[in-house]
Amino acid sequence: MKLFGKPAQKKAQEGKSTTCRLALLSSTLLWFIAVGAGLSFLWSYENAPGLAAAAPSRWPNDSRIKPAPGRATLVMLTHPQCPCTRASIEELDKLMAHCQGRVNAYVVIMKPRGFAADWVETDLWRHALRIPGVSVLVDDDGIEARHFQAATSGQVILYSPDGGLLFSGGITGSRGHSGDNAGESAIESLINAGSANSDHSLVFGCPLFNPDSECRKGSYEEVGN
Amino acid sequence: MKKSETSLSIAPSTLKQASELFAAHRQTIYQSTDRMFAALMSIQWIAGVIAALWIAPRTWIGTTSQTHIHVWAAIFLGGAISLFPIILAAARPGESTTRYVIATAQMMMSALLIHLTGGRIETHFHVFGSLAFLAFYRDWRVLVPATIVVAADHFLRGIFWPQSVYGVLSASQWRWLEHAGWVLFEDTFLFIAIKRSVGEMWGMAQRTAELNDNEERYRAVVEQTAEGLVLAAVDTKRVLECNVAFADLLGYTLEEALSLTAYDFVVDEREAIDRRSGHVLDRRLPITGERRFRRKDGSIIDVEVNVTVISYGGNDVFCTIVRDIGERKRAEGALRESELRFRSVTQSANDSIISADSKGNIVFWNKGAEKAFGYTEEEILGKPLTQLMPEKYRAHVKGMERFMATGEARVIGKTVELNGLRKDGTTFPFELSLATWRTAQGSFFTGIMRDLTDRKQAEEALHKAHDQLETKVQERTAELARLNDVLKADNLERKRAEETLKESQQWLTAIFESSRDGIIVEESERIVYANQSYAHLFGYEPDELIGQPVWLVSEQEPSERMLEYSRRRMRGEEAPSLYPFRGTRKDGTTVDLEASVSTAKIGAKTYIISLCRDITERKRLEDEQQIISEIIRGVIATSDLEALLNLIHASISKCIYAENCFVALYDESTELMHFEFWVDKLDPRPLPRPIGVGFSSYVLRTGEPLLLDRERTEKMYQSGQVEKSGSASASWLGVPLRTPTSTIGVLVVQHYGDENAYTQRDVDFLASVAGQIALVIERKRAEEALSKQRAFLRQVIDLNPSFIFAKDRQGRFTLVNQALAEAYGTTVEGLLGKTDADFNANKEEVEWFRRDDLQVMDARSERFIPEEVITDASGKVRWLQTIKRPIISQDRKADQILGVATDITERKKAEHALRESEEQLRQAQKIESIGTLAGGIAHDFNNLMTAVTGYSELTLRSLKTDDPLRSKIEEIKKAGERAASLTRQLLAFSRKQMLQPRVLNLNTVITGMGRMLPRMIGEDIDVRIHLDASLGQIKADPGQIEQVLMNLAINARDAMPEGGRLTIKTENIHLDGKIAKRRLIVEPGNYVMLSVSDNGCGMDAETQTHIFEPFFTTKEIGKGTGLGLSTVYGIVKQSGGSIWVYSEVGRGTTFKIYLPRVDEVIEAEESENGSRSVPRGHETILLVEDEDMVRDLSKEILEEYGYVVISAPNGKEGLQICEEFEGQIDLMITDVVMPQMGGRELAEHVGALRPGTQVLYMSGFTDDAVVRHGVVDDGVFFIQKPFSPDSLALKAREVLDQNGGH
Repeated sequence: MKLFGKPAQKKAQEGKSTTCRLALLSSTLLWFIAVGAGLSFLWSYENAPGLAAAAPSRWPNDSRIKPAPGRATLVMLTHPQCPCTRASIEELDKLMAHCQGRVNAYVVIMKPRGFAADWVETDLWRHALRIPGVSVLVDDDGIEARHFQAATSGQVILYSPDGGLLFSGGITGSRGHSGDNAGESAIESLINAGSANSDHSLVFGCPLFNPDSECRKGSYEEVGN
Repeated sequence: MKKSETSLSIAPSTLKQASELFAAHRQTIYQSTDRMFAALMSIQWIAGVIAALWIAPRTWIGTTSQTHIHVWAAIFLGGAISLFPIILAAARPGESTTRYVIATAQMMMSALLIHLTGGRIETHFHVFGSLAFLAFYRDWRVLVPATIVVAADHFLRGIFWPQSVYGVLSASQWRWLEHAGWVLFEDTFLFIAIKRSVGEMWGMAQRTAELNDNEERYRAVVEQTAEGLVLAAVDTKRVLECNVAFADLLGYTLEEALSLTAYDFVVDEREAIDRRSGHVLDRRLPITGERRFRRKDGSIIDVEVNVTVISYGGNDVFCTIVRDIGERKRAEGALRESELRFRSVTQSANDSIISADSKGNIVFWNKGAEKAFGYTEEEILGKPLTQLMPEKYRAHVKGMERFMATGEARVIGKTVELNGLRKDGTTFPFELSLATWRTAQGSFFTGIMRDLTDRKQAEEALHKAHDQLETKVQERTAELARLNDVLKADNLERKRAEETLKESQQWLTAIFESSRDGIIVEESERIVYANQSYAHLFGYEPDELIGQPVWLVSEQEPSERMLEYSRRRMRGEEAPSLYPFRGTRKDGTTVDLEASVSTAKIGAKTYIISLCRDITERKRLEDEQQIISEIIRGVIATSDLEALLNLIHASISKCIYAENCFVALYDESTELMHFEFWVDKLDPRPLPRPIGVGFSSYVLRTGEPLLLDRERTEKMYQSGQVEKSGSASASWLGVPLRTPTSTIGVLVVQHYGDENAYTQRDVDFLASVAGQIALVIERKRAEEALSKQRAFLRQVIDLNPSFIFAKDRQGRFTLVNQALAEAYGTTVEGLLGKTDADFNANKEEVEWFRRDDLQVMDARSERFIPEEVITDASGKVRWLQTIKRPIISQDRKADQILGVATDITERKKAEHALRESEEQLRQAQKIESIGTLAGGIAHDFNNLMTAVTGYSELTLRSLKTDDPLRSKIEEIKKAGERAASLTRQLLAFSRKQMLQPRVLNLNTVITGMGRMLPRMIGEDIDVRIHLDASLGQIKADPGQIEQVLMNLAINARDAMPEGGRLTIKTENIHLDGKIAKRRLIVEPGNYVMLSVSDNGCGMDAETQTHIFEPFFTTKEIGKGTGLGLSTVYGIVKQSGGSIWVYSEVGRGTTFKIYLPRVDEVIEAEESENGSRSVPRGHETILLVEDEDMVRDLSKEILEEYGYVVISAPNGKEGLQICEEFEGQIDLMITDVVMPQMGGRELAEHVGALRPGTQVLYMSGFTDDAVVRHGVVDDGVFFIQKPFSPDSLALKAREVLDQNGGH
């Protein structure tokens, strides 16, 4: 308590004008619309799937991957540099945790011709290596990817023990987003229960090949182009 | 805590303060949280960019890569999300819009970060964390937009991209709620937390408000108490705080006092001070004592101090209450002295002095009483008085009781003899003087008792000697008594006089000192007395003024006026006794005073007594009233707002410095302030501008006066309440101009040099007149608007060409326009208040107007008058079309009439002209038709007349002179000639007559008729002929001219039955367009005028309009054909001229004929037919005539003259003859108008067949074949019917001779 001296002065109130209010309201509205549009655009991008694989209905004999008898075989084809596939690897990790011992999983990492080996040794490759039950293969020149007709990184194909195609699709809900998704649920159901509501899903990831590389096998752009 | 519960227990003012504190605290929280989020937004933005660059820097398509869209999204979208809230947080911290935008942006940032990090579950916690941060605002409403954004995000993505939310492509439409539900869950808890926090804030605000209230109260107590209060540090004894009373006690200012230590003002050794203060500190109990303090001026004062130790600001301090006991000390000293004096007196007195209380118990006992009664003080104090009284006197105690109860006293104030009872039981006589006195403890009695024992004994002894001395003493005593009486009386008188004087002096002093007016007495211009009021009026003490010159407090330089007054008074002369003057206070300020001065002679001295009254306020009110009066009068005296504002400025300049002054008026329609009045030494007049942030705008907005010096101005700038504009002024004063309904503007005065130019008094003054100024400005504006409207309406009605008027029941014009005023030949002002009768000489019109106006007013209905006449100022009659309406007043009376009259005079003239034109057209058509008829008749008639006159002529040739048939045949011939003449007239009138014009001089024709005219018109007519010798030529048929002259002369003769004068005049004349038009001549130019005038009976206007009509005559039946003037008219018109008549009844008539003047040479005159001999011939003539009689006659005539005549009844046969006839045909005489083949056509064919054959046409009818407009073509031979045999033979010979003839 201050008993001595003069009491504190009160501050004057600021005035507002109707014009300022209207300008502020207009600015806020415009900002909201602009940001909303930006987010909508981003969401659209995030949810734009890549080209799904037309996987062969039977296990391709040309593949150097040999499926183990008595078990389903899962192949995930990836682009080592694709940031969206990071989420697919995480989902594979969770899937393998739920399907222990009932599936052989292979992560095929594409390496274009002429690229150094360390180009594929990314965190994605390292994560895949750490997943129990998952074998990591480097796919020189995308030969394996072509065997399975994969075009988009994150493409997952599941074959039954007898080599029949069970599922082809992605295991993320949108680009680079981990979390529950229809593909993972279907694969898990197929492996564990033998059936699922769907045998395909959208694939979200970077294209594995250059746009014209399908016609020019063995011809790749150098890194950095 | 509920606001309402606590609010009931606290005062409204405290509640208000609590609300303000709460609002301020909350605002602080808003602003600080805004700033926090601004920083957080920045960090999040950067984090988002870093995350995007770390997690997904590039996107790949095979072996090619590009920057990932996440990076761009992080930079630009993140920037967009962040920057707007950051800007708002910086520009508008604490505003609700800022918070809501931040909340929205924060959740959008959450969505963005979630996407950038790949939807990691960990990132989703950003949503919940953001909500928690938003709760920092302690405003639950902030959570609403945030929650809505989250819900919308899930809802919309659930619709458009369900797999991104639910992991499946299809999901329940309510599944988004499941996700949003978690957010709502957190919102619930946050809401509760916010409410609690807000409640705590409110409680804190209330407590703070209460604390502030208490603080205010205590501060008031501390500051207003008369006792000094000081807080000092326990260690250094330095004064930490003190109140003004303490500082004043020591003679310091507050600031000086705060720099003192106890050692500076406590009069004692330092060690003693420390010891005492340590004692207080140790005991922690307050101590009270007396001290001596040293003032600033070194004087010492006695004070009583109460010292205690308190906790102040967390530390122990000495709190000392200081009370000046100097007065008390002095009073105590005086009391002690008094008591000592009293005690010494009472104790040393021989008499017994005893005091008792109201209960009769002894409270005081002196030595004398001890000696008299034997009791010591200790023995008797507290004992009852009755102990000192013998039994029989104890009842006197009741007298005390009665006195206490009723106030009735029998012995108090008196001296009585009683007996006292000693301790030893003996009694003794004493004389008692009893008094009573009261204290707070009650009433007391004090008795002074004198032991009378010795005196009694002495009295007895003396009593014996008394008798002896009595006689001697009686005489002496009587004398002494008498002297004593005189002395007593003198003494009493002197005492009375002294008392009266003293009382009078006290009265005067009381009167002078209690007077609110200042009173001084001066002697020789020096003040010898000044009362308190006078001294205070000028800021002095009365003592300071005594002996000072009286000019000390009046004007510094006493005016000559006041000096003169003073000198006059001193000389005993008359001088004004009541006048105003301006006094100067001790501090230099001035005060307006009114002095009432008188002189008084006391002894040999003359004193001047002045009563001075402060009339500052009265003067201010007077000035104010005067200014207001001037302003109010200004409304009427000034013509416009500018003049009014100038007057206002001049008025207020009398009371206040206003060399820099402006009046700004706010226009609500344009939302601009207009600086209608501007006087400034430095700045130019600003343009109209909207209400801004200047001082005048501030006054306008707040509606409160504003007085500024430099310091306050600067503060307002810094606080942002106003912005700088214009030159900085040292002192600025602005007041709002307020009417009862609104604030219309601001009045400002300012001084650029003097910060103290304006005081609160000036503010009050200006504020008090501002209201009146606002009212007069409003009124002047209204007047100007009304005046403009009136001027506009005035212009409208004045520009209207119609007569606009209003009249009252007395016919006086109450409204007129310019058109009506001009019509009456006056001005608008000259017409107002007047009546029609004042300007219109036509009494009938005036009476009609009046009657009609009254009818309209009485009927209270509109009246339309299609036509009425009014005689204007020039006497000209105008036609008007009028509408009149009654004007119904507010009390429903039709006292006035409004009229609009359109001048339709021109229209009437045009209608009249049109009617005249139509009449002329009808007349012309009539004439044309008559002419056609006449022409048709004349043609056939001419043939008949040709036969009649021809055969008559032939018959006369064959008769002898004395043949009895000769006269008859001659009559037949005459009749035929008359008929032919009549036919000619008809043809002339209808302009169908054949004219053979040639160039001639009119004078020649007139001269030729000169001898015939008098015979024709009679000898009683005086014929006067005036011919212009230089008369120009005309081209006309001379015969026709003669006809004209003859007809006019005959007409003039008929107008003068009893004789008169006929004047014929010729003149060259040039007619200009105007005259030409007026005289109905189309072409202006040079004319030859023939004028025929008479002084006969004349014709009226009506007759004049008909005189040229055929068959119109004013003569009796049979006296005239009515064709004379119509023939004249026809001939003149056919000759290309014009005729004009002027006639006055009783005075005569003048006809003027204008014939176009030609420059051709006069043609030789042909000799008359009858004067030449008729040669014979033998040529062959082909005669073609369809009229049998004319053919046969013509054949007979020609054969008689020797010609060989071959005749044909029509053109066809004539042609056939030409073709078949083998011989030579020398001449073909053919009628012009014939059926099937006219004469012209026949002539063409014959000319082709027989080129040498001449052609002579004959006809009685104008025909375009050989004539144009009645004029024979040049080179064409023509003879007009009817013709005489000789004229036919002559003409044939003439034509044959043209060809050489045989």
